Amino acid sequence: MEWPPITRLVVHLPGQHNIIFNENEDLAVVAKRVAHQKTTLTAYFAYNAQNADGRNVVYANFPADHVWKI
Amino acid sequence: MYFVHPVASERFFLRLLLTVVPGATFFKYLWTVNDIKHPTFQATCKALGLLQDDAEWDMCMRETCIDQDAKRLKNLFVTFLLFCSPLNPEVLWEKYRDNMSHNMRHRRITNGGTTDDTYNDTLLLLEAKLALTNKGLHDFPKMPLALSPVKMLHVNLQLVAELDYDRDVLHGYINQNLPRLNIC
Repeated sequence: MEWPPITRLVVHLPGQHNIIFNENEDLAVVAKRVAHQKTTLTAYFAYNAQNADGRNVVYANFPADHVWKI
Repeated sequence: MYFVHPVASERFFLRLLLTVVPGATFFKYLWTVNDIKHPTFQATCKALGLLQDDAEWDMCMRETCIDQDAKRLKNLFVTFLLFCSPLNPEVLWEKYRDNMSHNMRHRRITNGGTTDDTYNDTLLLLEAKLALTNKGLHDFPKMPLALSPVKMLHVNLQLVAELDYDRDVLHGYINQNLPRLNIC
């Protein structure tokens, strides 16, 4: 694996993020699993909702001070 | 951040907002400008003054009307729809639909049709042109839809277009013109 890992910031509409699933998986199980999946975008929203230090930072500049962890 | 093509419409405008609005806490947070809530990402971009209006496209249509026929005008309009994200395509449509339907007017009117029939014919043609890129008028919510879409729209027009070459004619063209090429 590449180190440090490089992740790009995703841009997606509500509920329309890319998901990864196994083709044998049951659709209902997949849907349940990904319904509340975090993306870099929703994590950015969630962080701002709880913390004030990112309020002046636009999405693209956010990773300068914050780390994305799954 | 990922690139988003303007054709992706709302997603493109979401991206645009994310580049200028700091500290968003949820999607719809981005819709609010000065305590006014807007219905779409696009409307919000416009309220923030991030978008120009359609004056550019309007001017281009106007100039094209002067020296091009209705067919070219329709092609131009489809290009605008597909690649230029006009804010109010329906305004352009209403302004230039007479010019765009000019070539079917005569046939329609002499057969007892109305002006609205010619507009509908034109919308059907626009629909067919859009279908070549797997799009339709329904992808542009403000555009009027054609009534009674013809059946051919249910087949894959892209495939039809690709299979529609006259191979014999093209072979003849090659046989005739290949020997004429300069050989270095």
